Formats: sequence, C-alpha cells, structure tokens
Amino acid sequence: MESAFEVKNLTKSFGDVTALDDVSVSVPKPAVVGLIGRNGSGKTTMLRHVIGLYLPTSGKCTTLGCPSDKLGPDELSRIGVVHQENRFLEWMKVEQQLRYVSTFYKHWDRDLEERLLDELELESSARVGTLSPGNAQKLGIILAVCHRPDLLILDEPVSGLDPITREQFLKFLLELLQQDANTIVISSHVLHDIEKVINRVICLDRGRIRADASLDDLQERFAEWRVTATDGRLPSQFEEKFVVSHEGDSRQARLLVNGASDNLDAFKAKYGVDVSGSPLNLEQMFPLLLQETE
Amino acid sequence: MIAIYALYRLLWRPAILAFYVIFAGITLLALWIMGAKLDILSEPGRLILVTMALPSIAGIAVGQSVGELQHTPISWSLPRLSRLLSSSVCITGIGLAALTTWAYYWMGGFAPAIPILASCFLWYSLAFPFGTYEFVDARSLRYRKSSVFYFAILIFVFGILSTNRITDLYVAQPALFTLVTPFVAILYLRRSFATKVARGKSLVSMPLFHRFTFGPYQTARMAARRDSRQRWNRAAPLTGLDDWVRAAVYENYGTVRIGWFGWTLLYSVGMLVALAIIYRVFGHSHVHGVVGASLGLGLVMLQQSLYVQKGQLYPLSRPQLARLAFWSALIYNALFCGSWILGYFLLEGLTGIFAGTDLVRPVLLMFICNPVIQWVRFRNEDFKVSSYVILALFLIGYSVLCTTWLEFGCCISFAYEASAVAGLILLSQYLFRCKFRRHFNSGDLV
Repeated sequence: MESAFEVKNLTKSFGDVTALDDVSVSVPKPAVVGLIGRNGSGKTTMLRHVIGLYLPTSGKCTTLGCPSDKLGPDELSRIGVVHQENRFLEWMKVEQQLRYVSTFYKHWDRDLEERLLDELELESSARVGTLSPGNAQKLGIILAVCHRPDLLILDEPVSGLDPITREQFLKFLLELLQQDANTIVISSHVLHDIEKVINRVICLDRGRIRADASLDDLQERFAEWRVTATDGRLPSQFEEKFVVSHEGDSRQARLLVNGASDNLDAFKAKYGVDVSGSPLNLEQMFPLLLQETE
Repeated sequence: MIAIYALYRLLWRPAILAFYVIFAGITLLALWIMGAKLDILSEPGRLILVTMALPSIAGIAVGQSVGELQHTPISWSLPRLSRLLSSSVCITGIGLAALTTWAYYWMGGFAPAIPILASCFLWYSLAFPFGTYEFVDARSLRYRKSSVFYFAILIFVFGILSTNRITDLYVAQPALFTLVTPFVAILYLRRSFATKVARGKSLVSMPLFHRFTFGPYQTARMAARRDSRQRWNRAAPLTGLDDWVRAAVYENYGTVRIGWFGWTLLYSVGMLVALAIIYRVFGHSHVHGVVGASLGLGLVMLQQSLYVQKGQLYPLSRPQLARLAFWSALIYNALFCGSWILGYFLLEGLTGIFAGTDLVRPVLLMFICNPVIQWVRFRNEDFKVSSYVILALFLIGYSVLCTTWLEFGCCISFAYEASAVAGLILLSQYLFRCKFRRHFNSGDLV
C-alpha cells in the first residue's frame, strides 16, 4: 500500500537549532492524523518537509511515493495545504484569487468552491487584504481543497474560526474523507475539536516523536479513575507506577492512569475502593504524552 | 538623558546601525571616486547636498524609526512616550544640523552659519513626518500630506527661488532665519507627537524597518487600491514557462492600470526626465549618467520583481521554479534597461537634451551587473547585514568599472567593445542561472 508520506530518520537543523531530531513516521492512505505538540515542537517544520518546501539536513522524506525534493507538478497537484500564516495576494478579491489559483490545476471543483463559499459565509467580492484572520483562513481552506487533493495538510486550520464554522469545517473534512478516501494531516492546538475527526495521533516534542498511535489505542491506555474509599481512608500517595497523577482527599480521589486496565481488580482489592473509570480526551492526554518519556 | 535614550534605543540595534554605517561608507566612497567630476564643491552643490539632502535623509531615517514604534497599538498606552520622543527627536535634529553646517564650511561654504544651521534643522523637521507616515500600511492622502508638503517646499525653494537667491537671502536676512526658522521647525516637529496624531498613528500599522526591500510597502499600496483593471483570463492548467511568467506579472502588477509594460516605460521616461533636470542644474557629465543609471535602475531592481509569491504551494517542481525565477528576472532586467536606452535615444533625438552624454554604457553595465542586486533581493526579503555589504561592494565596484569603461571605451574598436559586452552579458546570465539552479536544488524555499 502506498503511504501518503514517509519520513525516515529526518533531522533538520537551522544553524545551532535542531528543529527535528531523527524523526521517523509513516502515514498510510487513507487516514486522518492529528499532529500535536507544544509551540516550537517541530510540527510546521515536519509538514514543510512533507510538501517539499524544506530539505532535510539528513534523512529522507517521501511524499505520495516521490522524494519530497523531487515533487513535480503531478504530485504537487495532489497535495493541498492550509498554511499556518495565510499569505495571499492581498490586492485581489476572493473571486479573483480563486480564479487565479484554479488555473494552476487540471481539475478544479467549481461546485465544491461555491458550496464552501456559501457554507463558510465568505463573500466572493471581498478584497483579500481586508479579510479578518478567520475569513482569510476560510479562503485558505477553500484554496486547499477545491482541486480535490489526495493529501491534505492543514497547519493550524481552525485557530481563527468561530465555533460554528469550526464545526462545519470538521464535518466537511469527514465528508471529504468518506468521498475521496484521502489522507488528512491536521496540526492544531485546539485538541478537543480535532479529536472528533482524527483516527491517529502523532505527538512531537522538541523535534522528537513522543507518541505515534491510533486514537483508540491511546484512549484505551489513558484513563481517569474516580476512586471512593469504601472501607477506611485513602492513602496520601498510590505507589502503583501506572498512576501518573493524583488529586483528592482521604475519602475521594481523581487518578489519571496509564495502561492500567488489567490492574483494575487488583487495585480495588488492595485499597478497598470503588472505582469508576472513563477514557481521557486528547486535551487531558496531551500533558501525559509529553510527561511519559521525559 | 532619558529623553535621548527613548530615541536612541530605537536606533541602537544592528539592523539600523549596519544600514547607516554601510550606506554612509558607500556615500563617502562614491563621492571620493567621483568627487572631482560631480561639482559638489560649487555653492549650489553644497546647498543641495549638505544643507538639504543630508538633513532630509536623516529626518526620514529618524522618522521611520520613530514611526515604527508610533504605528503599533502599544504606543498609545506607553506613558510619556510622545514627550520623550519629541524632545529626543528635537535634540537629535539640532545635533545633526550642527554637523551638516560644519560639513558645509568644510566643503568651502561661505553663507552665514546661523541661517545654514537653521535651514538644516528645518529640512530635517520637514522630512521627519515624511518618514513616520510614508511607509504605513494604508494608502490615503491623509497619510501622504507630509510628503506632498515636503515636495511642494522643495520645488518652491530649489525650482522657483533657485540656489543663488537662497544664498543671497541667507546673507541679507540672517535675523529672519535665526528667529523664525527654528521656531517653525520645532512647531512642525511637535505636530507629529500631538495627542490626536499619536492616537491615529497607533491604529495604523507600518511594516518593520528591518525589511530589506520596499516589498511590504508596495504590497500595502496595492492592497489598498480600489479596483484591479487587469483580468486573469488564462486557461487552466498553466503549463509552459510563458504561462508562469504571465502569472508572475499578474501577481506583481495586477493592479497597475497601464500594465507592467506601460509602467516600465513610464518609470523609465520619468527617471530620464529627472536626469535631464539634473543635467540642467549641474551641467553635462558622463559621471551623471553613471549616477543616474545606477540609481534609477538599482532602485527599481530593489523595489520589485516578477517572481511569484514565495511559500505558496503552486504545482511547480523545484527545477521549474528555478527556470521561472531566472527568466522572470532576466525579462524584468531586459525590459527596464531596454526602455532606458530607447527613452534615452528618443529624448536625445527629440530634444537634444543628452547630446554628448553617454548613457548607453552605464545602462549596459548595469544590465550586466543587475543579477547581483536581483539575487540579493530574491534571497533576502528580511534584513541581513550581508545584503548591505554585498550592495555596498556592488555600488563601489559598479562606479569604478563604469568610470573606467567611460574613460577607456573611446580608445577601443566598436567590434571589440560590442563582443566584450555580449560575452559579459552571457557570462553574467549563465552564472545567475547556475545560482538559481543551485538554490532550488539544495535550499529551503521559505
């Protein structure tokens, strides 16, 4: 099976700063991947390698079966990108920008363009230079998807959108996935939103991969336990290694656990407690992913 | 002391210091190389260069640094900012006026000192708001009033009064200049710091000064235009080099009503007419051709290009992007230099204005050398000290080469000279192409 992109031992340095440090990852088709990490963790740098804007200091990056430094018009026509910082030709109107960019592509879905303009409530007669950051982001999204790319890279696509537009956009992404079976990579800090659409998580920290797993696996691994003492008092500390966080008093406690599902019965018996467990959402999981390998 | 610090903290940083040091060096070297021929030691030369041009440039530069802070939202809420800046700008202006007055006497000036000092300070003050407004991200007459006013005064003083009458006025009316001029200058400076003005400025942004080119300014001007007269009617998909170059022209000149071609011709004719006026003031000289051609063409190479927007993911491979960058730079260079030579012959034929002056050689040499400026502009949209060093070396090298060629060009045969020029053009373009290829093969694109 052809992977959407594959990165092998990728290192990227800017002078003394190492932005990516021996990163290896392979993303199959189709998939919706959430690329998460703190500010400056290397997310944008990695995505720029995938689309061929950056060249590796060492290592390899292959996109749609082609080395990313050799991407030609055919491969690039199959990629859509929403950049973190939208930079358009500000003097154009939205309509002009769309017509201009569309001529670079063999196929441009005008129906999709009109639908998105309508759904995202973007005025086609508005001048690009006068768009608010949110509306500029909407334009970036339309420009990135109307040529029906096989690989859609979204670098912070929802940060400027209002909650209603965000919801619409995420729904549209799911629809796109069902129709075209593409690969979508979303880099974002708005984790509770992207959680609704992604099926895989790649977590970067200081240029290194901290986690690369399916969302289901992660949700199985990380959980929140609400512990109530039924017989006596709760200890001030739990010595089990799978307990990564603990807060509460002698009667009740909230524990965050990592890989503890097999140990639940033994835990109950040992402490004489009632436990109600629930999976963590991505936002709760994120600090634990960073903590895990530190 | 604090007042001085408020301004000098803005100026005291590597980007600004390198800019001033290197360009001061270039100016001195260029004057040294051409000094004997430029006639700067005559009274009109001294008055224009020392008492008007230098204080004005200083005023614009200080204004730009102050404007960079004033045109940020935070400036409105910084306590006592206007007071601190206005006093330091005044003190700086007086200091610079004293320095330029000293330079005037050093170069042999004879008008009374106080009027010279006062007029230096006045030009500085007139140019200061020009610097704070001219580069803002908004295009409105409201933000251009100061530059319109500045040029109106300039034309009145040097166009209508003429330099000789100014000197007479300095000698005849020293009291007027001593009492009135500094007062007017300070009042004019203080207007830039009035509450209403400061509030207005904080709401309008300004591209950062460390930008190497005027690109953001041009972009802002284009963004503010009401209507684009050009339509993009190419059929999809764009495939050939011709299509991409057209796309690049559309991106960069889409709002220019007369199109890129028309704009180029208009610019060239405008610069040649300006050069003709300089000839009238200073008289004919080959050196004026060198200065005029290098300023006019160098400026336009720095200001604009035909390259498509960087960082956008167009479906073009790296080798295709390299070809586009090379050809768009070559076409841009060729059209500008070509229109200069054409305009020169037309003006000479029609009006005889350039008779006896060689402008073809300076322009041809500029065509050969322009890839250096084009490369620096392509690579460094943000400030880098190395860019200024390259530019400084470029201008010095160009001045030396051009004056040498003009001196010895007449002694060699036309055939030999023509083949040497053709060879140099081919060599410079070949090296330029190799540079682009190498960059696109091995470099990051953003």
